[in-house]
Amino acid sequence: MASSSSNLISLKTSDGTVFKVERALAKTMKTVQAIIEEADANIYMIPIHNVFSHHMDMIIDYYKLSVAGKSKEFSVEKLDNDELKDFLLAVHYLNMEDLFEVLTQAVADRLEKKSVGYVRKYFGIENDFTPEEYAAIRKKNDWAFKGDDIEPEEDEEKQEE
Amino acid sequence: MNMAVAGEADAITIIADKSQITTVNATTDSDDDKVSSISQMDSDDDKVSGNNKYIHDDLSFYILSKLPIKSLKRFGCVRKSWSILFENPNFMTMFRKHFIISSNNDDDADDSGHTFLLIHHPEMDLYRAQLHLLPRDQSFKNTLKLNLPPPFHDDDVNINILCSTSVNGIFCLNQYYRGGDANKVRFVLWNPATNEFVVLPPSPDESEPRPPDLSSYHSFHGFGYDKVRDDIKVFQYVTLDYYDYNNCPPITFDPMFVIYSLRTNSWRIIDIDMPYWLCSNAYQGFEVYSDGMCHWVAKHHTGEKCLLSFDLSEEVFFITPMDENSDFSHSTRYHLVVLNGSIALISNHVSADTIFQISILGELRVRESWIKLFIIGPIPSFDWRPIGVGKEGYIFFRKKDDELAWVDLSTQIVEEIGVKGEEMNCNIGTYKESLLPIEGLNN
Repeated sequence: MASSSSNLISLKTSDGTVFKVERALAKTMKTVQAIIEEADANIYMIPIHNVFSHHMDMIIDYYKLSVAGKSKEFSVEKLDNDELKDFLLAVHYLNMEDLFEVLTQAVADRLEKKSVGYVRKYFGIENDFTPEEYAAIRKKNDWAFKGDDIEPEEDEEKQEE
Repeated sequence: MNMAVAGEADAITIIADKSQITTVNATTDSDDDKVSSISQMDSDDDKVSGNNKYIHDDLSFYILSKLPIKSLKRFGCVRKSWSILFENPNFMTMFRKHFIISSNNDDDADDSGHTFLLIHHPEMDLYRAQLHLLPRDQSFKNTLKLNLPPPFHDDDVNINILCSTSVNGIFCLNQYYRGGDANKVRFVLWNPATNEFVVLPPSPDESEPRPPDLSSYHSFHGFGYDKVRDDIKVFQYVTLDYYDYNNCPPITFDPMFVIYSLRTNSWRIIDIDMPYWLCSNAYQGFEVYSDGMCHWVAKHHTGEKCLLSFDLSEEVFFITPMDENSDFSHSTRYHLVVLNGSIALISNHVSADTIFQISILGELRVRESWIKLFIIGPIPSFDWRPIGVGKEGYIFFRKKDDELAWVDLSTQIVEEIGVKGEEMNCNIGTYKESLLPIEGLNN
């Protein structure tokens, strides 16, 4: 039976799981908070789009760590790059400031040494340069492609220095 | 918005204590429809494109704003709008904000970092040094005054802190001997937290016997940490010249580049080809240190300025040209600092001398990696030149009325420390405490 006890908010994830969360945690989700504030009567359940139960698990983990002053111990190491992106999109949708900062930094760190090709795929972006334009800008920034730790471009042949 | 859902057999999940969680997925058909209709109501942000959701510019730019300059220049090749990120005001606002925040986060972790103020007060005609650590609000009222180490107890005149920073919790202080032998320089490595100090032996240029009217000029010096050898090094570039040009023998002396290693507690002379002369000189302490290297603004014989760097591990010099739009006339002046771990140039043009521009360098050796980051001002009260960068990236200046003040880059608000200083007699930098003993110190 759904209850609307004043301290717990029910959130239903995209995969149908219901989480009852403390009001304080719901407050960190600005999207949810806006829904609550707009409602005249008590809300029984708030659906949260694009948020799956495994995302909620991690959100709750982060919340518990940050309440204990240990937010720096929160780690997304076990997520691969795509899982991390999905998690970020969920947190972005929920509009959760602190966790959003953590995740955008985590994504940035993962992308830092990646190739142009990888980044295009990751962000779902098409190349809108003509081949000539690309060649010109590639050449101009050649220095940014150098370094043993930088991922080489897939379509570029290795050139003799 | 009433979300009562009839006919569902969900279980309630109590989150207050995770150990008690039982989650059950609701699986009635009506629920599946609801779930799928929810996912079709995807927020506008995410259109499916192949296997990857398209990420909107707002979000992608926010992620990009946390990347280093080299990555951003490379990703400029991703698409056209990314190739002009550094001209995009929205992006630059995010980039600046993150640049400032990330410098603050380094200090949050521990409270062992401070702004230091080295100030010389005139007493009779001597300028005596005082070293203070500023409190968090950067106000002079609650500073901690540090006692200089014993070698300076009886003589605290004209002291420099090399590179305006501590390295591994150690300061390198130097002082030019007054009266007596003006050719001698005294260097002392000092850890204020442990009170240990090491007086460096005389450098080779001092040990060689030479005619009394021959003077040494210490053109520049620096100090820092060689992480390859786990060694602290101090170096100086010494030129020798006759004091009285009218009355000197026709002999020339080669300049000497000497480097001291704490591990061996000795100096070496290094053979270095040094074709560039500095704009500034050692007495004014315009060198900076960052990440195993020392840097200066130097000037070619053509008048063109550049960044000159010395790698303490490799023991080599190299050049980074300045931004191609730089003005090398006397109308523009430059001051080199380290800001949030990046090499940064603060510049000021005489025709708009209340405005200060800050550019940061993305990659050493790469002219194209200078990025114009901040414009501060107008601040008419500030006098050129900045006196240093403190904690949180606060930039300190002397005001025209001699009050020492700082500007916060995120707010552009100017605040006074609460003490006055004379031109060329105050220096600001950062100190980070370390309790590690100075290597090689004999007890």
